[in-house]
Amino acid sequence: MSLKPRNVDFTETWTHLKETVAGVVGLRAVERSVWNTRFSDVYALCVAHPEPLADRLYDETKSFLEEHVAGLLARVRGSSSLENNDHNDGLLTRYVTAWREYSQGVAYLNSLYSYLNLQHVKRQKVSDAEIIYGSAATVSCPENDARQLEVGELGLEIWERVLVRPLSTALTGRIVSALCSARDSTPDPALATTLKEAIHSTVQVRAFRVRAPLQLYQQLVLEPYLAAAGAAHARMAAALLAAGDVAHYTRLALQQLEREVSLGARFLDASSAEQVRACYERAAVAAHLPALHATVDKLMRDAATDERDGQERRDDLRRMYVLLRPLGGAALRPLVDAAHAQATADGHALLAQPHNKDEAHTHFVNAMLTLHGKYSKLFADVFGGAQAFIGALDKACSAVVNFRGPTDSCARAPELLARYCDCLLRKRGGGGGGSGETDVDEKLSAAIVVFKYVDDKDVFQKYYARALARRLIHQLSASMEQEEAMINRLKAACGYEFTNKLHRMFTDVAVSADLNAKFQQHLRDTNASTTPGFSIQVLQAGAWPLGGAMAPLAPPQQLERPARLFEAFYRASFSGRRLAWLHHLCTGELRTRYTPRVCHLSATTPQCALLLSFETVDQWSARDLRDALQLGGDAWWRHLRPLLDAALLLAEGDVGAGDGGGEPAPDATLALNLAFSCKRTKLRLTCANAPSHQGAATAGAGAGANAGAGADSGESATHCDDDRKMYLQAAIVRIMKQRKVLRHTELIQEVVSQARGSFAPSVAMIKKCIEALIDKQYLERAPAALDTYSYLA
Amino acid sequence: MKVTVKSWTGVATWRWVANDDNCGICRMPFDSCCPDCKLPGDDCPLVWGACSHCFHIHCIVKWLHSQPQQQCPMCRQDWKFNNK
Repeated sequence: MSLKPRNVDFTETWTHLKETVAGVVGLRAVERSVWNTRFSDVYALCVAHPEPLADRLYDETKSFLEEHVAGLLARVRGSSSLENNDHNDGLLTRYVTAWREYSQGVAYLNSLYSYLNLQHVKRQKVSDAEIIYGSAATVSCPENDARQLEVGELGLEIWERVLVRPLSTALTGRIVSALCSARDSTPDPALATTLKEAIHSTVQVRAFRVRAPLQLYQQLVLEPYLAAAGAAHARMAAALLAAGDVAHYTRLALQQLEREVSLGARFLDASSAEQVRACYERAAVAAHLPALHATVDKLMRDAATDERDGQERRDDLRRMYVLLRPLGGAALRPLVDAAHAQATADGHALLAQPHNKDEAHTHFVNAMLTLHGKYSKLFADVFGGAQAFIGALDKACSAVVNFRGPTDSCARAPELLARYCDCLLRKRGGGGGGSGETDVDEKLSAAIVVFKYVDDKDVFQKYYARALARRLIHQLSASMEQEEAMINRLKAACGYEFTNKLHRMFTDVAVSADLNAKFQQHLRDTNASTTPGFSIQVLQAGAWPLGGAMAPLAPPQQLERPARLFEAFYRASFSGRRLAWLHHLCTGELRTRYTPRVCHLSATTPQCALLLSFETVDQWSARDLRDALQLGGDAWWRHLRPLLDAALLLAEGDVGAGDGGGEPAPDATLALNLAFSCKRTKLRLTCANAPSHQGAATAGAGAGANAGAGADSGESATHCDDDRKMYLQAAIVRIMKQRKVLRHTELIQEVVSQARGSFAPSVAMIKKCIEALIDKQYLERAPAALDTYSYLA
Repeated sequence: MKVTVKSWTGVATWRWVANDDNCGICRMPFDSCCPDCKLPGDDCPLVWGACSHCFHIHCIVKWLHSQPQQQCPMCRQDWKFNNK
């Protein structure tokens, strides 16, 4: 046959064509040759001469299909009454059968008309771009526009218009009632398939549409179903709550949720899974939130116990969390609050447990670690480690760590934690303990966990620096690697600024070792000899928490010589630096030769001096001795007392070694105890505590270690307060310098956020600092607005 | 000898010896560092000129860079580092 356009008699061709179309749509057998001829007929009609007959063909086909579907409608409706909603009356089955036949037939018809579809209809199709950005005309209403569709689509459109619309109420009622009964009992397979196909037909019939392809499905199936399901869920949930406790409710509710979701997945369109779930949550869970929330406190309390019951409560909580999680933050809030309250209460209880006062630091850190470990595990286990609960735990921990009793001026956490670290890092006496290096490392890493919760990090730093200074100067560190690792951990937690002084101290010690080697070399070079075992640590004045005032001392000749030599050496090596001896930190090791048993003493320089003064005599007038050594003020009693306490020296009369010192009486004398004996061969003497920066005494001679503890922490608190004021003022000036003009509340916020890394400033203190800066004319109150400050350059 | 010294560990701190308390350029105490540094000490040393005036090294270097003539800011003599 020729492809040339030619004259075609429409009526005749259509009569033939119509027959075949009826056959195709009815899925009756069509001969191959007939099919081919009809295919050509469609072509011939479309390209007919003189006038193409495509439009006419389209219209005829349309009216034919309408007629056909009207016939199907009658068949589907059958004898059933449309009013009742009995899904077993056969209407659904008939509908599905007709749909199967028709949808397939239309698909074939679509192929038969493919020339028409391709050449004639396509040109009129709306492009995607038009739909998305579209002109108002195309967007308006696709239902009513007379635009031609592809024949397959046309068939589906006619199905929807002619068959589904009249039956919609009946279909909806049957589908919903079938779904509802499928929820309670598994339907028989035939009905299940029918139901599924019926539902999917509502999707497929509009699948070709670009706009709102699911509209029919939503109107016909989803929305009525969700309404019915919601009511059912609400009834069921109320019944569950009335029947049993919350545990019972959560268990069954979760099961039903599962069932509901799987029901949805089985029968409904995949796109509605989310809505089905949300519908359940809204009806069954959200409606009963108050009842659920009322129980969380108790559940949380029980879940935290280790008893047998605890596991079950944890399961309850886990289920409740699963139920509540999709409802968003507000629904979870009581759960989070309960978690926070429980962890806080537990923490306080742990800390309040009776413990040995000397072990307070270990008790504190262990209690915190127990708390943190327990609840991290619990929350990870029950709530899958959700952010909100981790946050609640953090808040609880920091509340417990920074808790201060009504009588405490500041939280004890920084001090206890620093002491804990000190004990770990210090050389263990007598090789006992048995804890290996890895063990210590682990404990120190764990301490960092606690450290992160400490608000007053600057106070911790003070205590830590002091303890570190003591360890470094007296060479008490168990291992330098551990010291360094710990400083690095602190640095990782708090930043460089926090640890730079600690680092500085560390480098000073390293530099000192170097310096010692050079000095020894220098001595060999110059053939000068000194006391054996002379070494020195040169520290940088600003970096060490050692206090300033140096008691003057006229050191004994044995010690003065090496000291002078070193000073000369140092001056030659570094110009422009002045050395100041910290006699109370120097240690000398002495060997007694006058006692029945040789005894090794380690003592501060003034103490060495005191003992060495008895070289030629056995007795001194206290006042003469003091003047000879130039031990003025505090230094006298602080260094003398340990010697008296250890009974190395014997006092007669008031030598002025009581608390706070005093003038030695003119007739008071000090005598060397020639009969001195001690069980141990090594004895360590320290200087007695005073209101200075010398901390608690080390173990050994028991030189009033406890006396200074109270004064020590009080003094460090005021010291810390001053530092904080400086810090805050600096922060305020920095901020104001940048911003020039700032409102009061914003300024406070910025200051707090800057300071948070090292401590939590009180607003009152910030206000005071602002006042101070206004007095110093760094800032002024803006004349126009009362709550605004401006920076004065 | 009643008592012999076996060993002795001295501890001393050092600070700068300068003819003034404050740096003449930045007006910060010599015991602390210049405004650009964070830590006093070896990282922010002092220098002395031939004219005996003393500054933070960072301060004087900055000053000399900003001036056409290399003069001490205190006495206007030609600046020379004193390397004694």
